[in-house]
Amino acid sequence: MGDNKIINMGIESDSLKIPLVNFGKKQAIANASSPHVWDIENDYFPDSIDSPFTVSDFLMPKIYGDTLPHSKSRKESYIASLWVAKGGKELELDVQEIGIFNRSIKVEVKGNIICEIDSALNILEKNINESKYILELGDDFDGEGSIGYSVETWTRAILFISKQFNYFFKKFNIILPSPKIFHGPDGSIDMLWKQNEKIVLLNFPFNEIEKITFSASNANGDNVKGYLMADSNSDSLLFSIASFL
Amino acid sequence: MSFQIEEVNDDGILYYRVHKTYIREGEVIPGAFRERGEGEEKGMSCDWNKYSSGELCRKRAQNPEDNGIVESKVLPIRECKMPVIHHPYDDNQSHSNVKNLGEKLELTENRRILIGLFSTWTIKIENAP
Repeated sequence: MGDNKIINMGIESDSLKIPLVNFGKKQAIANASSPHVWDIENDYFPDSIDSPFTVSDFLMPKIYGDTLPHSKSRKESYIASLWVAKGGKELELDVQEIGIFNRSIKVEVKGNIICEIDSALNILEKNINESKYILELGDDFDGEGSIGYSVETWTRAILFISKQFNYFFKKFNIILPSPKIFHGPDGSIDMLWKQNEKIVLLNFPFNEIEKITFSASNANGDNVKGYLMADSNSDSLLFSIASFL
Repeated sequence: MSFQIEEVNDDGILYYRVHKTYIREGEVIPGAFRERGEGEEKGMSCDWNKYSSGELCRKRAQNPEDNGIVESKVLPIRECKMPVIHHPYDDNQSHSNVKNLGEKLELTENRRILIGLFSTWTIKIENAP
């Protein structure tokens, strides 16, 4: 494990070994783009830390073994931050209380589970849940004759983005910035990434045989655009988004 | 009564109604900018400031109180390959269309982004989500 550090966590009879791995700047940037990670309103910022961390100071833990899931969630970040706060000394935590065993999040609509996403992608989950307002927009919702939105279109869009994010996270260990999800033209779904003056807009069509189109723009007027099919494993698109933002 | 079709001047201003459902967290979402109609009628429906004002544009909505108004200059829209065509109606001499906004195969998503960037509030709606 090289220069990895070990934390022994006292949980009942067993001690779990958690090697801390510094993932470097790449991972730190991925987390910095998710401001809620450090939102004091969330209970992930421990009382025992006297001064706030900057993300670049941060060591991201990677958990091995059969007992704990192999993932990097905010809860794991919580443990790492506590560990750093205590100067890397031995740490005792109530793992059940922290809820580290919650590996995946179920995305439901109208009582049906449509997919599961890794718990590390909880910002995406939040944005997905916020987008459920779209399902309430029926025909002529705007008084201008626009058509309403179907559960099928919304579900296809959510399945697509969840699949891509899960894939990207598992394959490359990177949490992408999560898009806001809005209603688009003609029954389509828009996914919008906005960061500083950079904007990426991906449009998921009402008609499933149509292509998904996207465009990325910045303040200099640079523009990248393209399309893809919903059943493609488009890590190249996601790489583009991650590198653009 | 039919109005004559005119050339919309580059320094003209277009008013565009934004229904409250297109406003999230105080901002106009890209989905607000959409074409309506078919064939020659197809386009993003706006009012030209030569014959209208923001308030008049708002009053033409089914429920004016549910709509805000944004405005944009004509020239930057044209510079992004979106023609602005005067298309008067009998009851609205100012009516104009922004064309080429929603052609899926032409990959026009960036045009919706750009129109959003060009637009500023004329009348901001108070009761948006």
